[in-house]
Amino acid sequence: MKFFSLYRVELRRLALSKFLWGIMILCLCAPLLGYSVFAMSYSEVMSGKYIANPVLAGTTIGAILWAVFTIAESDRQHRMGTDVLSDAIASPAILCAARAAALLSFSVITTILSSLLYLPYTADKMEYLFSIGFYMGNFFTFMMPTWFISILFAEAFYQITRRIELAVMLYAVLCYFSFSRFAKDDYFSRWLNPLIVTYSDGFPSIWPLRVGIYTRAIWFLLAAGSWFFALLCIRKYQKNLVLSFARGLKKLYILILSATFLAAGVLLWINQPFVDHGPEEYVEQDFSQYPDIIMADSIDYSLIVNPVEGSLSGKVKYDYSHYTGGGEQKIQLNTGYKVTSVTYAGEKLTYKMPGDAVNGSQSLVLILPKGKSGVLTIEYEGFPSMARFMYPFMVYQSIDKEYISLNDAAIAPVNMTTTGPCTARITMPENLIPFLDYEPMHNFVDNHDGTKTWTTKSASGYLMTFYAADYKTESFLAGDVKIDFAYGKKYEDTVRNNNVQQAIIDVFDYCTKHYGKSQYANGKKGLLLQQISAMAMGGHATEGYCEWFETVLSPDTLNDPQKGANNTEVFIHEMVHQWWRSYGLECKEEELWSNEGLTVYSTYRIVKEKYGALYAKKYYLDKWQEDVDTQNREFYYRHPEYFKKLPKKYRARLNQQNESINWYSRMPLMIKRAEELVGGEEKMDAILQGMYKENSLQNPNSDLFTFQDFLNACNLTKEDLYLE
Amino acid sequence: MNRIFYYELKRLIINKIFIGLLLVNGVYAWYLLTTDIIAGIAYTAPFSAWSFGAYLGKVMPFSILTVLFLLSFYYSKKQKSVEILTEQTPISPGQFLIIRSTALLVCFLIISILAIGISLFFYIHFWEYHKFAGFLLPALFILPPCFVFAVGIGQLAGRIHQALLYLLMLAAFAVSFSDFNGAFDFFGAGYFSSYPLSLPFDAFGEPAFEVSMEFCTARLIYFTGGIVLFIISISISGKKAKKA
Repeated sequence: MKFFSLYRVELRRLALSKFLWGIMILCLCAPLLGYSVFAMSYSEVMSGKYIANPVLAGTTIGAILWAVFTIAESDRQHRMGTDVLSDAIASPAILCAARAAALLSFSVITTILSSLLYLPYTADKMEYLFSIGFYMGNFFTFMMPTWFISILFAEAFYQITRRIELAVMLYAVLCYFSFSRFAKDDYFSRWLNPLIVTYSDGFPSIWPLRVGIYTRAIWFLLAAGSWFFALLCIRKYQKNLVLSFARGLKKLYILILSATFLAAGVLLWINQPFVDHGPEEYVEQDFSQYPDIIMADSIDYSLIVNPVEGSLSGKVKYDYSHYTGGGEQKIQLNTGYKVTSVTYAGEKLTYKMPGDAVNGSQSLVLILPKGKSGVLTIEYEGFPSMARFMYPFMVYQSIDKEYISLNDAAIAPVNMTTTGPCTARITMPENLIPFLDYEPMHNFVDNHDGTKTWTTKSASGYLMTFYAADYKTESFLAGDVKIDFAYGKKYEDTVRNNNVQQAIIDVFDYCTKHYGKSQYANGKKGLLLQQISAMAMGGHATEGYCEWFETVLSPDTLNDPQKGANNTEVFIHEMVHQWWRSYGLECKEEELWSNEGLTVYSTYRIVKEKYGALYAKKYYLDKWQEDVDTQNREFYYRHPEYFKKLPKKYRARLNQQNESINWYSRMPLMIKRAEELVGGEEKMDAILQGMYKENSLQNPNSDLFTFQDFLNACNLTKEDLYLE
Repeated sequence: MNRIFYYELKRLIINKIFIGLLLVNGVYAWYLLTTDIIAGIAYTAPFSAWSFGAYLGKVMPFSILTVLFLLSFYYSKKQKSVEILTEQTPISPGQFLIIRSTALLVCFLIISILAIGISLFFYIHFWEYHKFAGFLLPALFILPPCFVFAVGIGQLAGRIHQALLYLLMLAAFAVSFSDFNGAFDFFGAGYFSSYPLSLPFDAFGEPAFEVSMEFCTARLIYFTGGIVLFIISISISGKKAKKA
């Protein structure tokens, strides 16, 4: 019998199986668990709660159910003792293929039914945030392929072992691998329970679906390779595994197919384009080893963003018309990009890319010819990859139809600078509003092909950050400070209903009143406050700029008075950094001293004034004390002699953990202790005001502010602030 | 008797499945030590009795799964078909059960010795720690109750229906993933990870190794419960043989 006639027979037979209907019903019910007990993403946004969590729950539980059914079905004929008869009628390999194909078909039907079943509820809950494409994309990116993979692995394990319990055990080991700590934060290892850190409502990105499709492709190839291999192991003529395999080898093409699929899966894994292939930890680079930077007369950047492919192509021109000295240049470029052309004065220039991936970028080395001036042109293109140390929060370098986020070497080559003008031209979808180097771009040309080309003069030689999304910008004054507040258009109602503008003004008023005017008070320089994707996690501040991930401004956060410090703090914290950081008073980073501690303390004071002492105690003082107590009890904190014996990687992780507690909990608690010792909040405010006035950048000769400086200002000693 | 025991033992140990599972147990043990136990459990030293107890508790699910899997050999269809023959031998079904359980005990001991050996190597290699006498008590609290109860309930389940053994394996797997940390925590990892947090600590910041009376009682209940279940299995198999 031919494959297709057997396939039809298997389809009909399985359709009559009550066991199959039971499995399908359970698979349809499985996403329900994602709404409550089995929430697998860390997401707090609507698309995470109503799409990611149910789809992932359905994917994982369904995959296990399909595997159980597959193993039971594979063993059925052997169990009934009818395999001898069926083997005489049809080739066991073709029968196995027909059964697998029928099972895969039923899993496709179940996926379609599942997606249709939950569609009305999801659409109703998400209202205007709902996108049918994104919703269906999740089912067909995660659920269907994972079920395929599970069925193929289950069938393969059974055919190799021909023992139901061994097949179950091998499958269980593979499941355990996917759930283990080894695979916990790894997109690629989690074959059964795909990793989605979070989604974004305001700045939708298909980046997680891209990774999802890629990881599913890897595991599908591996599963298919194993399945082809298992076809060779199907028992023939009552022979054992080895002899059956030896006979199976006569069909060499199956072995070749198996090897090809397995090799393709491994190659895809090894060469994945999403994260660089460098060290796992952040590497401090010694730029003094780099050749001196040759200053260009001007730099001209032309970038074209391709959101369909998620790629970028760029052309950078460095004008060396007044330079003839020649010499080596070492430039950093994102590891996902490849250089397509380098020319100097119109002639091709040889270059090297040693492939030294560090912190998400690689080197491009070239030598400018001596005695010749001209324009150096570098052309590059590719899919931007993320630095490994950021893993698994990888959406910092992302190009999508509705959201673009790029930094440093993912925008253009870095480590080149200019004495003259620097122009950037960026072509991208017309619906996006761009921000370059923390400033809005204003000038554009409509290309009438669905894109616009935005042009700006950049203050620095290289491009640091680039965001683009469907933004709305409000401009207003907070005291004397001009504020540009940019947020996703989808949050327009939320921002208005919760009077976020007034909340921002309150923070600025508090800091101005308690510490002094910020350097933006002259009204010339604006301060940009920007909401970014929930997928970026956390917040960030730099000179004249604050950003928060979108959950900070989500309706859930703003409407829930019990939300606590986690999200609300980020909102205030990043604004307070305009006083406590390099563009205000900059603290020297020491074990127990940094800008963060001062900022956290000020945030606590603002929250106390706004929500009351009880609230501030619960979400700030008590939490700091809890963190400090935990740290005090940690074995390696108590016994540094054992800490030194730990492996380097583990030591680095503990150091990072300790640094975080020291700066974000221990230090603010020490400042709180200092506040009590100096005579209360008013006295401490006076000290902080004095510190800010004397040491902020308004006094350009000031040195970095140390812990000892703080102790001197308070007239205290280290021992006074020692925490039990 | 000795010959049968030797045969049963050989059947279990000289078996690629057992060797494979032993290797998996070893790899898992090392993985646990280097990723989890290395941090120290409940703020205690990684080489404290608490951390060692938690380690054994975390290793146990895999060891018990291995034992239950080996036990399933005795209740397979093939085995049942030759039972008619073995029942004709002068050895009673109860004696057979004891012999097979002793063979399982040897397998369990081999797995436990491997897991403990790996941990001792880990302690010596990383911390140059040699005071292992303190590990005896946690080992006594974890190993015998887990083995006796698992084999007791496993023998009874297998005697009723082989599928129950697989359900039992699934239950063991599920229990190992649960967050339960009370006195009745079967594998003990949750208890050893949480109970020291409630204890006062000495001048060096380490809580003394003192388990609660409830925990001792629970371990005793598991141990005696296992023996009772085992005796019930013997009695069922005896009655079955008489009927036959």
